[in-house]
Amino acid sequence: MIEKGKISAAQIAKMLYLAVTPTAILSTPAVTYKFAKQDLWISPMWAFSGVAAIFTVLALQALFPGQNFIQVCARLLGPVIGKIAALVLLVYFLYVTGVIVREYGEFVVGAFLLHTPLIVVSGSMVFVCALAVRGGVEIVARFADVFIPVFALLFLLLIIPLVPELHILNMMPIMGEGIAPSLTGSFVLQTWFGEFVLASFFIPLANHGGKVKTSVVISFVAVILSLVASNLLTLLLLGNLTGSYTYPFLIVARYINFADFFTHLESLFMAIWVLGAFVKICVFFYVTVLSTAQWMNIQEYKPIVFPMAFLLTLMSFWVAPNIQEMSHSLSTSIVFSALTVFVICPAALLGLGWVKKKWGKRKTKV
Amino acid sequence: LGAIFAVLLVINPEMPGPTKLIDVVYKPFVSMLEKVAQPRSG
Repeated sequence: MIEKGKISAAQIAKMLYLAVTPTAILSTPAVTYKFAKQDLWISPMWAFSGVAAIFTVLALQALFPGQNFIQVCARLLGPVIGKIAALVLLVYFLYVTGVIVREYGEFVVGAFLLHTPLIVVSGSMVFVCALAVRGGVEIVARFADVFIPVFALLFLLLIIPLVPELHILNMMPIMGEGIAPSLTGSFVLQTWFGEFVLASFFIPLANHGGKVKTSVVISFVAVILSLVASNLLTLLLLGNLTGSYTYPFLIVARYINFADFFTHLESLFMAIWVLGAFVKICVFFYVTVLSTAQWMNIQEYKPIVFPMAFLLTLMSFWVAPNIQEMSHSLSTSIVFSALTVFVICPAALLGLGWVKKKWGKRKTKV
Repeated sequence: LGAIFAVLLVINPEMPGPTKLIDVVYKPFVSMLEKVAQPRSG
């Protein structure tokens, strides 16, 4: 086994939570609002891709215990087609990680470090993540352990002071045009929920297999609740203006003002974002590096971490010429591609696995 | 692979990226989506 480290079921849940929530809170409300309007807060509840991804991952684990997505690919599709399919998957993981790094860089440069070159912000983050990933899955999991209470505390620190400012009428009428707007609004969120497929890479590393299912489900519910809370807060505070901002939740954080003294709490949001983005990039980068090492049949993944980090930095620039094009693709074509890779491919593999298992049983009976 | 990408990007910084490829591959689905899901007015 390439990875010798072991992590707990709770750590898997925390890693998955931090791998999905931070960027979803930042990027999705504006796009969701365009379609869902005042039903924006209902949209995260339609997490179909998450349900499908989790079900598929757990079913694949039951069929092929201790094997991740890439290994299952090679086992089910054979050495040639399996390798080609696994290559496509790992290149896609590298691409998605590049998109995340670019999102992080563009946000930090656009909202806070206005005069800092993008390469410095992205490159330094990738370097730190590479150091963490080189330490192994246990290090990444411990970061998630440490950061999740901080993330929760900062999130609450942003929400609580705003409660008196919220206008409940902004969410009325609830489902005034039926279920369709909130469903349409949830489309872009399916990319984020589909990311639960990453559990496939961490479940084989769990030290107590029994609790993993519950942990993944708890993490999934926590993500939905966090998104509902952040969307609701944004909607109740900004109302019709929600769709006008690229990062509505940042505007919410800037709104906090206690007696003209306790202001500019967007620094808290920046802290949330950096912590969350760090774990998210680490998780995705770890999966990319592990997949590459398994694809190349090498015994150690550590030697390829820094070359992959270089490739990742490059990819983060190459993914899109500017943030506008990337944002547009993030709400259109990337959702379809993510659904293909995170939901349809694993589901197809699961179907094939079931067929092969039944076929095998029949053959042994004959 | 990284070195090849780096050299290619230095020679041609405007080289279409993977997002463009994804845009092309999923263009029919995107146009279908844009027809079905119109942003809500009001």
